[in-house]
Amino acid sequence: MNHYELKRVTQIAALSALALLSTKSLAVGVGDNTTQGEESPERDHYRHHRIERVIHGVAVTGQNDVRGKPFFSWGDPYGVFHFPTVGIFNPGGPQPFPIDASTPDSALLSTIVDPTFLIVAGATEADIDPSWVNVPLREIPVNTDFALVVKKPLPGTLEAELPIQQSQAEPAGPITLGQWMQANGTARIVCEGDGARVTLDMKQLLPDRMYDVWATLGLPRDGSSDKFFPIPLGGTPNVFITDKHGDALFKRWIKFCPFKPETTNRKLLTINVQYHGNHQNYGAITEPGFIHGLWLGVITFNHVQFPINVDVLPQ
Amino acid sequence: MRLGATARRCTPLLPQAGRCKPILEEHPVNDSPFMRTMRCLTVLGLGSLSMQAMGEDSANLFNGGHNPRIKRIHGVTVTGTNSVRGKPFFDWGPPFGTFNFPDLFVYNEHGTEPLLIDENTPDSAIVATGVSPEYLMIRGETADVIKPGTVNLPLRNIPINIDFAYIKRTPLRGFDTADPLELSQSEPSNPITLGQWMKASGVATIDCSGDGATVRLRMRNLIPNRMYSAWATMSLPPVIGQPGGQNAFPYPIGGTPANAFLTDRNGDATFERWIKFCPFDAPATKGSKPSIPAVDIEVLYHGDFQTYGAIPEPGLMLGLITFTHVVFPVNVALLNN
Repeated sequence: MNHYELKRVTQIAALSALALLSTKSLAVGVGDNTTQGEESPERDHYRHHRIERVIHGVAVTGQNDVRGKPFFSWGDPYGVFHFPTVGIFNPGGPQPFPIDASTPDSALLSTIVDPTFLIVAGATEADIDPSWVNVPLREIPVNTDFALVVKKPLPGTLEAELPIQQSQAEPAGPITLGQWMQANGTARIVCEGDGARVTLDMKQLLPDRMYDVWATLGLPRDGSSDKFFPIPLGGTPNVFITDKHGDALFKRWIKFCPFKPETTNRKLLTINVQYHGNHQNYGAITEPGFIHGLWLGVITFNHVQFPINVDVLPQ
Repeated sequence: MRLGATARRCTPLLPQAGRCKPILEEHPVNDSPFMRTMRCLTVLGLGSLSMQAMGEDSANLFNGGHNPRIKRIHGVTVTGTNSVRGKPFFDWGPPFGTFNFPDLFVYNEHGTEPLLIDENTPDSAIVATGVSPEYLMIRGETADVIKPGTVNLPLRNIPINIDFAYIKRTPLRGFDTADPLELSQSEPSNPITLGQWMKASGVATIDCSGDGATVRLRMRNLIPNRMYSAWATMSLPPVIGQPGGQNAFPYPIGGTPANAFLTDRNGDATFERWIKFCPFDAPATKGSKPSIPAVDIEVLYHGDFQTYGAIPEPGLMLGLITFTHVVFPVNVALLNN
């Protein structure tokens, strides 16, 4: 069975097993931890103007994808559209295995390019470099030269043969599905005046690694032809580096209230925390997919998603 | 020594002394009344002034209690490679001596070439991109390789990649000015002046008392909400204008991508990384390849809001997208400026 047949089977299984989606992964409801306004008398004045909500993030294995299953609905026209951005390393073949509910936590994560994503991106199989697919996440090549040509996996700082050899920060051990799924976080969003303060308190991401934060926007109300297009939350550089525990705090101001979607042309659907597996970022865009096949799933990976204006699916 | 003990010692001097930080407990310290006073001053934010007045040797004493394997080094805010407002501040040793060149310039609103920074440049001058002839020389290049329109750009106007094909770059408006859903740069995005640039400061603590070294950087007043990275210079070319030595690549402190950091809204950041060698010593190399101790540790500002993996910038982009902001001299002779 090739990768695509496997994928179809997995999708069927995923739909039939939707009801079995774990309590943990869906204990995230937007409303579960919502607070609104402040109780203190001195802030009563702002009561009708201030909205504060805490939204729990979901560790994901793709775009709206938790172990192969969607966890929310985008609304029309995308519905529960989802696809993986990490796979399981396949030592015996060129394509990674898909992740599903039965994949063991010890499974080794690898790069993957999902055909569904290619369609969304307006790309084809020809835009993929096969050598970048089915690569364990720790072995993703990193740029090592001033001409941006020589890219290679870097040994961990401890493992490096020579002290000043180019290396990747420790811990640099294999990344398993179990480790990946431990990630979590909360988004505290406080709408005040014309905007909102957003504070992401991230826990147990990959330690000492680069992440950034993107706002996934819905289709424009005015009918313009824009597609899904992420914008850097709060402006660039929207990057953070996790500490040795994988924790990080990220604070930004945004110029609209996500809980008043009627006030913007495109509503904020999700906040997406992305891991940069090649240890660099790319300015105001997530990854340069149209050069060298550096797609989502090849160098960048959705790790935690915060559902803002989407319908979280029932458990 | 326990933290509580330190707190008690500080109390008679200053009521806030209970805030003494446990980091001071990591090393055996000289416990004279003078040193206790200095520790408390440091906790109150006066340590920088105190330490500068004391000089590096005293700082070592203060921090590590005579341990020569622990050093505290004050950063120097620079406008180029070994350049502070156009003047060198250390000697590389032979054959380079006080070789220096700028990678930061002043915006020239009346022309296409930026102006040089010197001691008379006013703090209100807006800093801009540029490429010095000296930099081209050491890279073995000539001025015709510089793309038109890339020099004399105020630092806030450096083009940012906005393209999934990695071709289109454009300056981004500040978040407060941009439309709510426009690609923008985070605030503050005010013009960066020389005065603001030169306010940056930092202290590095390099602890080689165990295996390898722990490098701690405590940075202040860098550009707020912006991306920086830390590198060690590990090699010099044998002759100016020739390629570097065997270890010519700058070494990312702590490995990638952990050598990058983001400043907070005040421009502050703390950074602690472990490296496999002590910067005071010549690291081991293969066979007979020459090796030298770290020359310096450099904190670089990324004006295009991105990093490039295990190298600081591609091609000739020092001065165009990447800028040396604070340098910690490790194994060079400081000049008496």
